Amino acid sequence: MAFEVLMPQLGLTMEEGTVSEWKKHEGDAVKVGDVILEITTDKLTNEVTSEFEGTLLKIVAQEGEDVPVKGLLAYIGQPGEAVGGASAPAAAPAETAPVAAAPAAAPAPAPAAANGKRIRISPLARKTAAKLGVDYSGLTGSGSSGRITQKDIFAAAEAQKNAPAAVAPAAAPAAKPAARSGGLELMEGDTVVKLAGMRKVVAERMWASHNEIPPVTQNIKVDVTALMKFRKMLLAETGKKYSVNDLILKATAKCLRQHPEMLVSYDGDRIIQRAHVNLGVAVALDAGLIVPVIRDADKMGLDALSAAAKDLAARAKENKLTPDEYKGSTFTVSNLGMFGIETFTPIINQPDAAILGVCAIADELDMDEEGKLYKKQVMRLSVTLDHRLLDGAVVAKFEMDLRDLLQNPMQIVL
Amino acid sequence: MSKKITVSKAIGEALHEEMLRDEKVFIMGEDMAVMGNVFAITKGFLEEFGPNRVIDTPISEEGFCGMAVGAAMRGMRPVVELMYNDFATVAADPLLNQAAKMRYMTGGQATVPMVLRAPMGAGRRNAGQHSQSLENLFCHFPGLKVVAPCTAKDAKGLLKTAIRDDDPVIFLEHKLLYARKEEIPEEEYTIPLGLADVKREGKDLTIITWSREVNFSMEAAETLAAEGIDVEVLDLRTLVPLDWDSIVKSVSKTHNVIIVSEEVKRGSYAGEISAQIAEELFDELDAPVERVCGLNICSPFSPTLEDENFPHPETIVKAVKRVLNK
Repeated sequence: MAFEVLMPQLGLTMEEGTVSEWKKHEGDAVKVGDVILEITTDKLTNEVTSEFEGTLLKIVAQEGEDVPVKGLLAYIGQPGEAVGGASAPAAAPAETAPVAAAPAAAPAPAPAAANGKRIRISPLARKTAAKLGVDYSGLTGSGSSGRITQKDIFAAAEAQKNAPAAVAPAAAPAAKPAARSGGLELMEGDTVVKLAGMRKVVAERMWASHNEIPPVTQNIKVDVTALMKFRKMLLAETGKKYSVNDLILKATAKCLRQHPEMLVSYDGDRIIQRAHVNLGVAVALDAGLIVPVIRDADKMGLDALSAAAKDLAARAKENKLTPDEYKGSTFTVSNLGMFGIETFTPIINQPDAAILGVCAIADELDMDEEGKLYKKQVMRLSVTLDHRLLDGAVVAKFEMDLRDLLQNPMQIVL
Repeated sequence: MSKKITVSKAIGEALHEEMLRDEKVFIMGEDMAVMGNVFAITKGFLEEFGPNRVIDTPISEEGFCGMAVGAAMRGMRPVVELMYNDFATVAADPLLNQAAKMRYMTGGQATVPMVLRAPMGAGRRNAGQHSQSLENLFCHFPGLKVVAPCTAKDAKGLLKTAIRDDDPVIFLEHKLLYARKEEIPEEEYTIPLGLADVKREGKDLTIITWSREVNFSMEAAETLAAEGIDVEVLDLRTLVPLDWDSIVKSVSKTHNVIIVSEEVKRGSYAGEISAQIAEELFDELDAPVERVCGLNICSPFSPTLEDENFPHPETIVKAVKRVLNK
């Protein structure tokens, strides 16, 4: 019997993937571990390796096609072997899948893990997963023989809720923007691209955040003259070049630890107080935007924090982040300073309660007590807060403390 | 008001009270009258009620069980004792083919309001033919009610109800419970058939059990509680009719189940309950249901071997941890 190659699930929130390139072609011999195709998801590009040995008999999903998780991609078997039909009942629904490619509320994920093995899950856990809209195919069970139990599903549901990339499949169907395709008239020269991949996720998440949250943006001016000098001093004394962003991240993490009221999440009829300072750092990519997370940033020294930020940003640009690396933020920093932006109104990265927008540094003139003009360097911080959870004055205190910290840069590293 | 008496005395009291209450009640069995039963349950009965109501029989289980069925069909309320439940196989036809089926096959014209008291269970070095727990055998036959109490209070209250019941009731008494002294109410009381008793509430796992294994399960529950595992102990008390509602309630709460009995595991009533749970409560289960029973062997005479052949508190603790993967 021919084996089916299925769309793997990379991370809890993945619903579908796009076949970007077939590395093997029909008729090619395939060994276990061979890369047979490349897929792109909303966030990442990944290679799919074969778990079977044989010949690539038939490619079902063509390049460019969106295929839901567990959807059929190809068959591997012995030359001449028949594929599909009665021997592979799963093939039929999967082949039509691109049309029905939005299993948004798929209550019962297929009973096979990404590696094709049968998933051990208790009946209760399966029922609970369906109810909560949890995809359990990637979970590790805590029960005997690795069986997934109800406890594991509850944990996954919680994780899914907190995942930044999560427009939680079934738990929050309302968060999906209404599809509005085909409504606009095309004009001469217009081209059309399908809203897909990362762009689609960014669109959905920004829409959801902006529609759900009553936002307030508060700007504060920071004198960064000392900070810039401090940076030079660090370079001179340690030979290490820290970016302004590194210092801001470090200061923010430190300040958040002193302001736990900022670290909350809105969750229906309850408010979750977050225990960790997990800093999301917005990274701009050609294809959109991704927010890798630096965990427990408040516990890191400047060196470690700087290295983590660099590493995550670099790997984000290369599409090499693992799903867990862009999940679980409790506060996010978005820096548009390098683009000369003076102030902006960042949109909150749910489920955070606030986001810090970092703006450009510019020279300003000021007057000292004797009426003498002098030059200083200033930078604005734009904090957007979720007014359901936080109030202006509370966040203003956080902003003032952050400002004071940045104006006394030695305090940042002490 | 309560008093502290042994389980055997509680059973004796039930017989005594029912014999005083209803002159149609009579008792019969081997060494019941002159000797007053091997466990001294009916000592003094012969003097009080006379030889017509307290009858010693020859070693002839098929004969006196058949006689009881006939007497019951004619309106008497015989309470027959098998010295060991193992001897039910000798009396299989009157019990399983006559008593169990008579009401149905006569279209309700005849009923068989008899009680068969049958000491059962292992642990007394009584070897293969006198140590069995045959719940599965009795529970298999539609028409029989089957009771297997653990406590003195339940034994008395349930036996009185069994004697008043118009259908044949198999009353299983564990031999190693007889000597236990326990509190029972001073005043008269009965306990309805078909009602389980939650001996201990818990949230992590349900132990379904009956008879002597209830005590072992309670001990296991204490040990587990010390380790932070909170088990519920459900004493079925009556096996047929089964208190399914209580099982549903408990399993729907804890989602994990073991069933503890002294039976041979293969073909046990524990297995029957397990199957029912798998069929009807599948979606409530977070782990496979485990039966904790005797081994699939002839009950050994050797004390060392016999003790290995029925669940102890340690066995139960292990099983609970296995199911919960703790």
